[in-house]
Amino acid sequence: MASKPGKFQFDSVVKFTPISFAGEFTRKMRTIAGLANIPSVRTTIAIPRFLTARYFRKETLDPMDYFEAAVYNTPYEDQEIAKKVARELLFPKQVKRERRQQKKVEVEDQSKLSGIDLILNELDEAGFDDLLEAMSEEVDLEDMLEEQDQSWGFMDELIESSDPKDQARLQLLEELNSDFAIVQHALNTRTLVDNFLESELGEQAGSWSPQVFQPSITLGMGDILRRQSQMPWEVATAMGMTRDPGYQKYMDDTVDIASPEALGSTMKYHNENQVPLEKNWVEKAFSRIKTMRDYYGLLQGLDQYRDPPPHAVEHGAEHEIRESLDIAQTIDRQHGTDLGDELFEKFQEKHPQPTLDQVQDATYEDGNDSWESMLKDSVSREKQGMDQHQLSELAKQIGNHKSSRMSPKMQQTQNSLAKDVATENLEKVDKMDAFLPELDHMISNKLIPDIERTMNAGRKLGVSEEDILERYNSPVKVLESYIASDLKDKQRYDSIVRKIDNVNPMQMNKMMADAAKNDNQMAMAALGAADLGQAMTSAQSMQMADGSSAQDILAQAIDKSIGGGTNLLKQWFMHRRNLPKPIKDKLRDMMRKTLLEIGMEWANKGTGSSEEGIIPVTDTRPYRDGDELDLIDIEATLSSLIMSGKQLNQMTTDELMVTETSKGKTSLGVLIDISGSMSGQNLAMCAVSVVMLLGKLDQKEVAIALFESNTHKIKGFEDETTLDKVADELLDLEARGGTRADSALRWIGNEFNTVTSSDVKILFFLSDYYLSENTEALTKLMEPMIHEGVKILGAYHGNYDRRRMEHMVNMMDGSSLKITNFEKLPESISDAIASITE
Amino acid sequence: MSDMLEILKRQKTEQIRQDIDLVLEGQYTEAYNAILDSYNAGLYVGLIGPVGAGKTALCRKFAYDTGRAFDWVTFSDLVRPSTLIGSFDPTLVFKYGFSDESFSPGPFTISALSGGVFLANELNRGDEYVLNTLLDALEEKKLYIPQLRNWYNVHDDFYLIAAMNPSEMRGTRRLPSAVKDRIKVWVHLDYPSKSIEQKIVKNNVTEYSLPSSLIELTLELVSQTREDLARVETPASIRSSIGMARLTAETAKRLGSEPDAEILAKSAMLILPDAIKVKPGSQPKDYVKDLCRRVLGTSG
Repeated sequence: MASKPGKFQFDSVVKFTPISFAGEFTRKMRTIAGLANIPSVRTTIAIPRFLTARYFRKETLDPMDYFEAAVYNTPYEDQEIAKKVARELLFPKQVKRERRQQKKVEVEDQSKLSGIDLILNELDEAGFDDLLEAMSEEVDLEDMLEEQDQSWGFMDELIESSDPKDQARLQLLEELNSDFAIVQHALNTRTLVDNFLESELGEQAGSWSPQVFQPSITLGMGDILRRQSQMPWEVATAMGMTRDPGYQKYMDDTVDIASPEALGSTMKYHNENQVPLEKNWVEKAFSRIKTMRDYYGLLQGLDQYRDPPPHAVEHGAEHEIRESLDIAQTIDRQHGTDLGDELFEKFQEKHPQPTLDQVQDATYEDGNDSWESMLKDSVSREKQGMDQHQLSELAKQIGNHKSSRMSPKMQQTQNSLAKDVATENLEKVDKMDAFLPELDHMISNKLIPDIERTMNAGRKLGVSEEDILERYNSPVKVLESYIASDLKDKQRYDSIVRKIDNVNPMQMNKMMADAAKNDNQMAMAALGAADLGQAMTSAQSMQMADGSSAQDILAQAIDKSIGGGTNLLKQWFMHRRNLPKPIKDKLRDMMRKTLLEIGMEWANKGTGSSEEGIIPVTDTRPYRDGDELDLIDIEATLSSLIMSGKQLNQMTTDELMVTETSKGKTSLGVLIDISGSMSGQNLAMCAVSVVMLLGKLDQKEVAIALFESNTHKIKGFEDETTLDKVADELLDLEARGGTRADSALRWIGNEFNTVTSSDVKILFFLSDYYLSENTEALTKLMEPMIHEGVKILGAYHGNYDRRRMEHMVNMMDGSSLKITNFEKLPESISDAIASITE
Repeated sequence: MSDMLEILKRQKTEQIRQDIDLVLEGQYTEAYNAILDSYNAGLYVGLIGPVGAGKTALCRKFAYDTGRAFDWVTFSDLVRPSTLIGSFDPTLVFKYGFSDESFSPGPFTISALSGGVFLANELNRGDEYVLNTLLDALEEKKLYIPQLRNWYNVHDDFYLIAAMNPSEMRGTRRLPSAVKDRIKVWVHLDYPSKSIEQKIVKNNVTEYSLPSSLIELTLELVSQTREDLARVETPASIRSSIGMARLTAETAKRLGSEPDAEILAKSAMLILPDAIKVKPGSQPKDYVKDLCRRVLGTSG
């Protein structure tokens, strides 16, 4: 055995042969804890084999070859560690220098070579003596490695040299992000370094920094700059610095055709390399800047502030005020200038009588009073001679205008103007039938006309005052007037109840008494839909005209046609605890039906249906040409044969049945936080969402639990359940105070780890994240799921603990989802499912 | 039917067009050299990297340069041993039993016995039972076809390259240690640097005159999908860059106008939503629209 395991010295030349390097590398790797794959004898053999092959191809080897051999021959999970180990072995000086720079105290103990014998013995036993011997004879790398190790010395030589060319070499290496190329590529001579720099210049052309030019010129690489440059500013600077005869022509062309950003960059590159630009050229370049957008492009390239050409400001003020103000504000923020003011003043100068569109485009916070007076003037001009329909449109145009550049005071002025125009609009309505729809139209656009003037206008047309007041009054007052007048109009009750959040006890008592007195069951149903708890309490002590219990009649009267099904569920979740048991039982059936109806309505929207889940079904089908024999289902084939009445020897391909499996499986775990902060409305939407999930997905692809201080498991992946059963559980759901996620997370973690074997595992976690568990505890709870590759979709609503939410999302490599409106919870979950299945 | 046979005969080709005209620079040179060295050293190579980083193109180039046939299989749950080794025509099995006559060899058998280059693409999506069928050919240089009850010698020139993306969780498995230990050299291929990708795109749009600035913008769109780890699960590949550049040039040609950011945005809206995968919670179209607005100032 002729291998020469060289002595490893931490601060001197490292001498290895491919064999000794493989031995040392493997030994070091084996000492590291936590490797995914302990290097085997095969690895130890593979490294010298790889290096030998490389030597025969290149006829040379350098430390980078050793480095690559070590890394490539290590399985991918451990390659980062392999890089570190190989680097320590091959570039000890560099590592040491870096460590010193990082002020790390100690370098590792000098490695000893005691493990080498062990490895070599293993190689002997494996019967590779001949190979190793052949290799050590043919590949004597020691001299070469020693030579490469001298690279550090050469680099020091360049650093200490006062020759401007050497300084230029170092500067250019730095500019081309190749500081360590000398060592990495064993560039031991100036010629090698220059060749390397030439090739890198070519490689990086198109993204040269301005600092690349001077050192390149010093090194006589002007020609390369001219040949390789790609961007107009690179070409121009290279030509200018090398006094290329075509420079003038190129600059003339550039100033005519280059983009504003390229013109800016050309100026920047010239300035930074002290190549003077002709005054004429600069003037011409600025004359090309026609718009504020051009000007912004120029500044982007130039990378420093220059005053805008007056014609660009004029153009912006005259033709593109909105975009120009946006640009001006961006520049003002970046450079602390007052371009916005200048532009706005110029706008006023150019447009002494602007249209409303122009004024709205020129919304400018710092313009304030001037803008407001412009707005008033323009509106007053525009509404001259307008008919009612045009006024209606004008009111909306004023009221709906939004701009990030509007102050609250400007907003107020705008609203007041919109209100005036909306009122004038109503005053111009000339038909009774058209009056109330127009009033509704204005109110739905958040334009509230003046009440006195509207009443006068309505009166003139014979519109009922009640109808007008209904639009202005508080909805409870309107409901009160309906019941007092014994109204029995379901549509009206429905419309007004939808605007009511709660009713105070005194109002409720009065309304309930009126309804009971008149035996008006529709009114009672409306009261129940408006505030079920309060209505039940009031009805408790009242009797109908015929002496029957008002509470019983109320329970019978309630249905979802007034206020809608979601409202009914909301009332249930808000008031069920206060309902008398017989009434609660009576209502429960209706609530269950309502919950299932709404849930299934959601389930049938968008993607998926109860028939088609995410999880594919394994099925059998007749054999087709191209199917593999592996897929033949013997049992199904025999059944098919028997069904066809044939014997085994009469079988044809028609009887063959094959198993068909479809695409990947998905499991969706859903955890919803229903802690104390959940209102009845929110709880109702959670219940609807759960029903929707069960209706939408295959039973086996979804596991659901709701949690607060307790965990309410609705179903695991493998649990069989019915929608009726789930609905019953949901209707009894009680949310208590705390928010403890531990048992819920542990449960769903277990479901993911042991119950389902899907390829894709998603946890939908909805909470405000004010959880009892600290981040450390959460980390522990999430770890088993992370291990299983579960990803989280972290949904949040209202006030939430951002830090904890982000922690969970980051840990589980997921993403977050804001639930802006709880009424849209089923829709948000539905969208999330759609994005998962896509 | 006879027309179809005629068409098949006429269109038959030995030459498979490379889907990407690769530029052998930077990481591709390093990876190519590593494959070459590993091949000469008799070591099998595994290429590690995201989808669309140019792994297949590199293998194809290697096969072409070394004058060998190139076969490949992309592994998944649906790949069975018979996909690799070959299958038996059931009707012929009834007639001849399991024999050479009823056997139609799979790509692995063809490659192994004829000395070709075989790419085992997405190796870590394969079932362990399936992967084990490769072992004998790799280690013993022999291939066993159970139904024929025969061993076959693997050609000396046969070479296997594995490719996979271990960071992709969906549908992947841990590679069995027996297989992993046979593949000795592991080379990482990431998405190429901007300058190389620019050259690749240019090489693939040679029939059009597309301004460099527009290619830059195309690459900026693609590179942002690669940097936005928070929102993008699978970013755009080199194929997407080429696709957008070609579609932009072709659209401009049809309209008789210069290709510009507006047309590029339209191309991006057609190509990118299906080329990338966003994380749950957002929609690919919305993401691309927003991306175009940010990078191009328009969403077409």
